[in-house]
Amino acid sequence: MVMPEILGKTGSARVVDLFANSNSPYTPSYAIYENDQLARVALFNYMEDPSGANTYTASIQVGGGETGQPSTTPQTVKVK
Amino acid sequence: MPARLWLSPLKSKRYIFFVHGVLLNRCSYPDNNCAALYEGLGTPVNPQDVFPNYLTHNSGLGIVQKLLNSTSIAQQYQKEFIMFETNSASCGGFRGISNVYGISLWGLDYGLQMAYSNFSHALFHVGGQDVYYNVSISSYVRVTMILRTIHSPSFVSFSQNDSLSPLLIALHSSSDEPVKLPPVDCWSDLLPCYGHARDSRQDWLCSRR
Repeated sequence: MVMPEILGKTGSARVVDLFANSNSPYTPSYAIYENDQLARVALFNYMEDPSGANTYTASIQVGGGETGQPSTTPQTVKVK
Repeated sequence: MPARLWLSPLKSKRYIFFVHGVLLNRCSYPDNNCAALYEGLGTPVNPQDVFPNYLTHNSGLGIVQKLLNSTSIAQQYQKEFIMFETNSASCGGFRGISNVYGISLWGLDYGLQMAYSNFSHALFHVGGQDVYYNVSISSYVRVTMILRTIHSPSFVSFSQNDSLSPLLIALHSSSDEPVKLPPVDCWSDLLPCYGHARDSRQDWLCSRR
């Protein structure tokens, strides 16, 4: 049920493993591109910690780095 | 699965299917619960001992790792590459792992890793109160019977000592309609099969163990 939401309805989804958080095995994340545009980011946290010590805040940057595009941050995001 | 096995007979076909597993078991599962169901398979696994193995990005990475050469070949020949029967544990799964929220995270992570690794489709095998195989029973029966018939030594000869010796079986449907290839359950250690469909033919590449 969740996977179709992640991959979207266009049939054009391409997925990249971001190896986020210094390639942490417990907080993987993926970027999903549809029609070559960034559509969604899937963020995982395998750790259940009521203390909150393993909660993380994701910073999402589009472009920058080696992309040759200016770095931007989305103004708004919809979280599911 | 050695990537070289894909090269010669399959590159002209439309699809490449991957049926047989590469890890511990007959299918593409990272673990199995068979010892809990069948005698003589050793001590049953305590699910809580292995649950941490699933709650990590490294699980999905490890499953696809051995298939990256194969998906690369599929891409090179512009073929789809399908992961056949797969999920958390064969022989019905682990109670307390295969039916809990954490395995949903695992399944999504594993599925996205397959997408990233150039798999075209994956067949997540599901169950409920019991395990079931193949939605289309009639197709399963037909495939089973045909494969068992052709598998007989009187029909086909192949080297029994070479586990990588491929056996190509051609199956023909009775109509010209495209054949929807039914998933072949991993019901036989003796005949792990890779198959593909083109028009009204189903061709299976089976490796005798």
